[in-house]
Amino acid sequence: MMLDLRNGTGEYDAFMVGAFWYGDIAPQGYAFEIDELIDSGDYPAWTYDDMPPSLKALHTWEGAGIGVLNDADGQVLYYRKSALENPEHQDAFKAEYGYDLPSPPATWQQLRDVARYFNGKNWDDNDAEPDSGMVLHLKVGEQGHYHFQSLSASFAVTPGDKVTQHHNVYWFDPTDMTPLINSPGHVKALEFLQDLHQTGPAAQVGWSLGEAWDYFLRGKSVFVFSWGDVGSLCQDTSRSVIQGDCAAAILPASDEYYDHETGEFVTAENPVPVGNTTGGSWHGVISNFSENPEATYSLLALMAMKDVSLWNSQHGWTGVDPGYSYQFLESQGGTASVEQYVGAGWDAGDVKTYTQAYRDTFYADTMLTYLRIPGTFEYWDILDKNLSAAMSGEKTAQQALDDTATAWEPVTDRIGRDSQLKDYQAAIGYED
Amino acid sequence: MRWTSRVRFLFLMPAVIWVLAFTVFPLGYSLYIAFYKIEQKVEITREKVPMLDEAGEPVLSKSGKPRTKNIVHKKEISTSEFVGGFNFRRLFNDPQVWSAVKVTAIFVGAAVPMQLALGFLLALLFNQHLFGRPALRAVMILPIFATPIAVGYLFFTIFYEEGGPLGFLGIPFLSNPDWALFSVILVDVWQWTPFCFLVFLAALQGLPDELYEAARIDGASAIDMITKVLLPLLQPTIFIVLLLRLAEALKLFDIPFALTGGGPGIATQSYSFLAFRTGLRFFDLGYASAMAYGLLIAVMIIVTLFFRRLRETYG
Repeated sequence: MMLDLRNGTGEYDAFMVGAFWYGDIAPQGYAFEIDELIDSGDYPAWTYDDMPPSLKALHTWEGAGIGVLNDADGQVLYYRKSALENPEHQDAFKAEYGYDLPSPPATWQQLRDVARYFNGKNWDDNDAEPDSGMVLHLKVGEQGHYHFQSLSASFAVTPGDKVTQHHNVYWFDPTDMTPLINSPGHVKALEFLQDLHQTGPAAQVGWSLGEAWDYFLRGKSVFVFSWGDVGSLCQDTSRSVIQGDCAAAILPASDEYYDHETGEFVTAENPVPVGNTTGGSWHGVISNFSENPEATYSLLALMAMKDVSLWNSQHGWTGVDPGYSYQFLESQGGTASVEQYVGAGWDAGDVKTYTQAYRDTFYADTMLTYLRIPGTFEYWDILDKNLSAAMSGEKTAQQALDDTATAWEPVTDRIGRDSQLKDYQAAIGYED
Repeated sequence: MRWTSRVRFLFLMPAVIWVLAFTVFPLGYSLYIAFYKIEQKVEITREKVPMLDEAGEPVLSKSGKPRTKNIVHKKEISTSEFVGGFNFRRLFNDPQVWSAVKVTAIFVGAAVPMQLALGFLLALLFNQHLFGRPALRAVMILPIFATPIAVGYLFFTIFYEEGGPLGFLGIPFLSNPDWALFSVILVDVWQWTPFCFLVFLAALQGLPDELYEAARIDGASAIDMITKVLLPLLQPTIFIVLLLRLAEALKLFDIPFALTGGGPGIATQSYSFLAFRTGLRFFDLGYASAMAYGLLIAVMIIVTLFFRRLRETYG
């Protein structure tokens, strides 16, 4: 894709992009703006108003519409409701940890306790082998770093009413592009993730999505936190043994977070979860080299229509995840009904928690800011490798994140610190 | 010179053009971009123009409106700035480069001797009268014909730790940094030992029977036969096989790409893998070219030393 755009070949009319590519295509004028086409009324109808603000922000650049609605990415917690609500386990957990077994856990710290409790026990009857607490997809070069992003947001983002130098920032200091990735909050989060890793199979260091999801769908772990695909794949009985027992919730909060302003950790009296749009929210963007943008848009808009979008999100193999009003239930401010999902083969109980989890995640008061600047892929790759080294025991959490921060600086300098700062501020909505 | 004499140059032309286009030009261009910072951009302007039919009349849509078509104008803007040895200096300060050099060195140092040793032992075995030797020999060389990427994915399933065929061993083939590198070595040995075996077997079968008979008459044991007769006689073959395998192993890419993704962390990220990511994932082409030249220089030094040794030994 980038070769086609950089060389001006114009071979392709459109690309299915992850939002993290916007920094490399939008400022350079490689993306065709689609507002006029949407407003013309000549094409299949959908609007940006069907998106939560957090997702709309990923489909636009400096106010102009670029992306056509398709997929919505964000990580939520999936858990085995039957295990957490089993009276025997509830009693045993309380005896061991001194508090009621939460279903679902409200904080990461509770989740770790629950994962530890269940890890190594054969807590279900799917097979005779011991099962795990948490399964993660940690393979380098794949989706491992997204786990860290989603989890660490609760530890490393200082909540506030708006984006300031110290509030609602995660990646860089928005005044000078100093990396924040090795802040004490990030380090604590990575240490926590290393800890959580101990409650799952050791092999998951080399697992990508398929292996980790399969492990959960085979009933081998109590928890997985991942994308919307898991919820819909749970309903596919050809590969899932947990239909009807696949509950979902917004990712837990942390009972302490790092305050970037005071430089100290704050113990939260009422921990508040941080939402995320982690992933790509893969969607169509029309190439500005296209000689047929109208026809291209017509196809993309067709796939963005209410019925098509709902159908896509109901079937796991499409890779399209929910996040738009078409997919939320009426009680959640959407237009879909439980019956529509049940008609597509879903379990009614699973649907309610699943859509609610995504509603809560995308409309959360505090969100993990999304990185959409030139070089995003390279920043993430550096982070990914260091995280993988930490998860496999090659580096400590501090060392891995210090190395990440050190390696990010020359990338920023090479691309241009001033231009990066400008793009970063625009991407996260920071104003002086 | 008669035209019939000149025509020989005509026959050489395709090869010359091929070498110029696909060897000399890329080599020169990559050297150029290693010393320059090149920024390439295409400015786009668009316009809508009326569609006209063959008679030059506007084409109308069903609703009667004139139809239009899009014209896209592209203007390439390319700037280059001389950065001298900047990209080469980066090589020395980049911890990822040193890690990749270490991974590649360990890989080459372990895999190549193992391939040569195993290949030689197998060749000795197959040089005997074995039942079903032709069929076994054919099976033995099959791995050479497999695509390394496919081999990588094949072994990913074999090394799968939760339920894979070797899962019962409890070995963290892919999740432990040291084991992951060992796994990459193992796969490469599996694939390329047959090559060494094939060449050594051909060399062994080219030796006259009288040599064996003479050695036996002189009372040589089996060990003597190998160390004092066969190895010295096969030395030129061993040198060539070693050279070919070294040159190939130094370019290690496909197997870690498919098997481990270079991980965990960067435990199996080879030098070529790093250069690939730098150039084609992050489009830092100048730095990737500098990396490629680093590898080229290393390979050239090794090859030169080998050939010098060969010339010294055999004239």
